[in-house]
Amino acid sequence: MERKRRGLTLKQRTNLTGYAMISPMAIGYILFMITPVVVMIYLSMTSYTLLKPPKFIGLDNYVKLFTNDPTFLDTAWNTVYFTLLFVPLNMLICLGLALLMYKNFKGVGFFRTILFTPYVTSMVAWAIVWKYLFQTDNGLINVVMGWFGLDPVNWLYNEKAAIPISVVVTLLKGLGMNTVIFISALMDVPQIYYEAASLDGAGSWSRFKNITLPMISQSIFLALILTIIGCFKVFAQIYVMSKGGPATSSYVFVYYIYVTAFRYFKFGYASAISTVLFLIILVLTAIQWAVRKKWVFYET
Amino acid sequence: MKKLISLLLILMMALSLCSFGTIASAEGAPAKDYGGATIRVSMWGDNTRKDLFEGLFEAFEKEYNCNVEVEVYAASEYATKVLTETAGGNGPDVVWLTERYYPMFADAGFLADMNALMTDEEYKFDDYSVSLANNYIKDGNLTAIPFTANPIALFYNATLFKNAGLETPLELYKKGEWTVSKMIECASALTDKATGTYGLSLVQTVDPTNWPTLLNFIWAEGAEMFNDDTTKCLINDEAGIAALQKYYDLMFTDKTCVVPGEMISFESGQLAMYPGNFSEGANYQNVDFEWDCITVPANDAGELTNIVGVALYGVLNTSKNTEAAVDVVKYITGEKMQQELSGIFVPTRESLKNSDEFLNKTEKMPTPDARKILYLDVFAANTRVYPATTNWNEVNEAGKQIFDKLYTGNAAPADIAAEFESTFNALLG
Repeated sequence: MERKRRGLTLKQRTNLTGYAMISPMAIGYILFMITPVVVMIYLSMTSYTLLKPPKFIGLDNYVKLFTNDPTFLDTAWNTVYFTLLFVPLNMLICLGLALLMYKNFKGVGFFRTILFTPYVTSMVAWAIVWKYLFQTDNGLINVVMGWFGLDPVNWLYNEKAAIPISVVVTLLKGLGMNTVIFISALMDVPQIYYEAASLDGAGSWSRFKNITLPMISQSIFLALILTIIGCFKVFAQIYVMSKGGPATSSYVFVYYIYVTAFRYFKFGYASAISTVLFLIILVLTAIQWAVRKKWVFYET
Repeated sequence: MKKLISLLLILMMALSLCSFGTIASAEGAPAKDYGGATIRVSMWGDNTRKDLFEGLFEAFEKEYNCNVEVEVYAASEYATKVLTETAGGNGPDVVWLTERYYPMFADAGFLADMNALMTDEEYKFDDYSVSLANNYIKDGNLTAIPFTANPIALFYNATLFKNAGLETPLELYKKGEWTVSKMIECASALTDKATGTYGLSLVQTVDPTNWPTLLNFIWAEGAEMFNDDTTKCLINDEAGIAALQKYYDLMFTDKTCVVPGEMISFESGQLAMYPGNFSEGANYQNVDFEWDCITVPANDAGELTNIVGVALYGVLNTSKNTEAAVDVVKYITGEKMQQELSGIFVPTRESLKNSDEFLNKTEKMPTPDARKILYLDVFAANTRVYPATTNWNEVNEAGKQIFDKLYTGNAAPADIAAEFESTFNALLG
């Protein structure tokens, strides 16, 4: 007679060990990431203010957002405008700097440090410094313009300049990170490919286009996703430099969420804006993920 | 042996400290015994203010056997912090409020009544300015105590006036000629493009987005931004559009008035006049020109109206020690403490405000004349408290955005007035 085995099978025991190993991370992720997202989606369907308890109102907040809130539409456009200006500039400049600095030459460490230092500086401190540089009176930029006989410009009170100035300030601070990612990728490209291509008579542009770009495409893809998501989350520099103004010309998503939640105390409505932002980032990431196979070269 | 001696010394010191404590507590029996309860008082400010108030509360703590904890937050984040704490069930017991945040707290039912103070003979509630205090009595319940009230002071660079051979605003005031037209006339004469000097700013230089400061100008031009109970916007009429047009012309046609965002500071000596808070005078003690401040001017008919900012004490009804919290308010807004604080906060107790001690307090600028004009003449003429609603932050932000369109020159004053009307009415309705 076959003895019935009691207890867990080996597979079950292995699975259990696995679950136990990932449980600290999984519990933390559920508590601090998934739960707030679920609560946010629930709150987005309420009229919750700090002053009064939540009352379920269905999709009213979303209807108002898309049909009766011009500030939201301004905010959406400003965020897209910021992203359209920032991402190509950031990718091109970082790639260019990485190509200049990935090879070892005398003093390269100094230049890499100089480039990376702003990245580890607090955005608030960085934005305060730039706010002073852009001041109308005695701001360094206007002082320099004055040396060339140019009239001072009221940079921070100009609707057309608000977003471009934020882009410049953010760009100068953030160049270091993507440049380091690209330098690391460039250093990993085997020299043998370049030598073989040179023997076949390939020029420098051809080597860059056919070897360098495909070989670092994974890093470009990573940097692109991170940079686009970063653009949608821009906040501190707007808060410090322009407070969303003049008028709503530099309102971006996170600033509008902050104002709605912590100035107007409309947590329900702010949750609706947050949910829209969450969905936009989710869709963008999904699109990029879906198309990555077409243009990302995987060596393996 | 040394260790034993050290231990004995420590023991003796500990015993002597205990005995001092016993003597101290035996000296005066507590007026009321709150059993060592902790009362949290929230206010805006910095650590200097925290230290000051903690010092002032020491006597109260002994007298009432309780512990008063002072919490200070940056003014810009104050309402958010206190509301978040309160909504989370961890609010303070006593709060400072401005007139702008009062409706938000009152409407949410967060404020406990302090009716005991109205009938307390020792407290002398009647000493508070009646017109001011009445704003905070709701349905017969006293919900807040206005402990300070500040009208807008117009700071002026007296050196610029004298160099241009003009009479100073103080001289004009004494002659009864300090009117809006005269102010604009002076501003025009003092504007000098060659030196980058502006005659006037109509908003505070420290916070040009604080557009309610402009209400003084709008009122003097015979217009109104809101109706009396701030439920309707009234700027979109002939007088309102004319007032906005006049402001626009001062900035862009005459160029005598600073466009907000230009960041011309008074300290630079390149700004002849600007409206601000009386306390800003502390920043100008070491400038290399003569200055003073005065009230904003009267309208051309000679009628003076000035806007007043008020700070209040309230007790949150989420407090577990409401009685003790009311006693804290009674103590700190009582005659003695208000006198103690009158160098920092302009008192609203009539007896203190009218005292020679307060009116002649400053040895440096502004002059005693400035104090008398701002705190006696202005209150005797006409004061209006800043408008406030339960959603004031939203109204304020909307107003800032619309004024930005005027400041960037992207919209005509008539369009601005129409936008004020539609936007504000949607928010106030």
